[in-house]
Amino acid sequence: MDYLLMFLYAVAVLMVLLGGVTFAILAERKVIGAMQLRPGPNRHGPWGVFQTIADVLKLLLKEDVIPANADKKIFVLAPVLAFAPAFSVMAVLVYSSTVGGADINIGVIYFLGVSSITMLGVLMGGWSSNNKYALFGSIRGVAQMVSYELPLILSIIGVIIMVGSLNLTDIVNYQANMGMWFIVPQFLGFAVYMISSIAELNRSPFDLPEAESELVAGFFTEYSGFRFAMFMLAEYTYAIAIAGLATTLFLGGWLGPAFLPEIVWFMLKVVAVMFIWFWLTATLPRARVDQLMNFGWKVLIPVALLNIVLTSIYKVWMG
Amino acid sequence: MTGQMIFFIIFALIAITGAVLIIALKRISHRVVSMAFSFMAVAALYFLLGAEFIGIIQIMVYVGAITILFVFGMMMTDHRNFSFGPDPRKWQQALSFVGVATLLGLMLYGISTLDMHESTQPFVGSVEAIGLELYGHYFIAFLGSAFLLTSALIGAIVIARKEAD
Repeated sequence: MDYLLMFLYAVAVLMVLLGGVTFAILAERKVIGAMQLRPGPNRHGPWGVFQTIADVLKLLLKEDVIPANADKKIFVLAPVLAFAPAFSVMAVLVYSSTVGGADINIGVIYFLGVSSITMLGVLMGGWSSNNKYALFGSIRGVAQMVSYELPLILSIIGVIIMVGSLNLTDIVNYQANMGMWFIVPQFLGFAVYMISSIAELNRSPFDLPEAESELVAGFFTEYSGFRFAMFMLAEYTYAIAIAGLATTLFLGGWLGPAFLPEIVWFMLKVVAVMFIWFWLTATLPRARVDQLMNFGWKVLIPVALLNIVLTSIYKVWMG
Repeated sequence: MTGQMIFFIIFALIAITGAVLIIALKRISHRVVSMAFSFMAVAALYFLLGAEFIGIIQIMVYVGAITILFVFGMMMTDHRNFSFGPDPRKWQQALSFVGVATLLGLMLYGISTLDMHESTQPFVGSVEAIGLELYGHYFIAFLGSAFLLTSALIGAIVIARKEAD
């Protein structure tokens, strides 16, 4: 019976997620369109709401092309390997005080550990296509994800030191007791988290692995049809998950004035975090590889370490 | 049969199948993927045991780091099939079989004679307990391993720089 409930919860999350990803893609195109003074997609349905659905239908109906020299088994497996970890991190996210996934005492580490596997999908996809652009894209992608995972993890440690627990529910409850969201006392950590999460998600301005002007489409150059759709789904699922973690850790999770249900507050905050990413996509040019690496290793990691030192001093001082 | 038992059998089968496929498959890329699956299944077994922290560290270190390291090694080499040819020397095969069989026997003997007392409440390992042990009881050993790793890192950089010059 327990297992049936778990299964139903997973299916429900997947369904909500599919809807969320569909409209996140539409929102990204609309937001960037508005910022560049153009209407964005507006042909399918009122205000273009059915645009992504039409795109997905087109992708599903396309011929399934596998390059002749590709490593077929890995080529087929890579989109699944990219999507599975992005979806399984959803298991620990807590959406409100009553709705949430597994309440394990290592929630944050589970999230970070499982999300590090997304690299495997990127690598396998790029390598198995047997295409130089794809290979370049995946080498860049992995170098970037390995370097930016460190500041991402280090930026969270400040919050963990303050709370003294890795459980996501405890973290939100601590913020409720403190009467303040962690974005105020942990602002350095929040800034580092937001910047390194952009690199971790391969989003602009750090979208070097899929830089379309240099690498065609990066590691999924050879992918088309529903496998391509799977990669896009994985990317946006991971984006929603990272935004969800940012919401829980720094923006107070489901906390908010009582005139809206808790889960609505959570979703509004996720949308706000994602809006910042779309905003950056529309405004900033792409960084160079050396700038990206220097920034990650010489700026973000020292700042994150400084944040940890300051937080520990505060914690010891306050007792 | 409880649900835990069913999951144990599923994960154990995945772990063993993955481990066998690492040896049996022909292409390195396929081997790396089967290795990742094997490691994941072992991590799932830790989760079933209630050792969540060890399980997630298994995923972080083995799947997230070591597998990626192997894939990097694979990407830096040629895109063609690597395979070890059939070994003509029969005595080597016999010797390795004896070695493996002895190891298996010793392990089975060790497991069967292990004195395990049943605990009444289900155990869930916590990060706090591990941290207290590590920074309390085993602090010197912890510092020693940190020094060892730092010196290994510096050594690797020195060697790499010498080759680059």
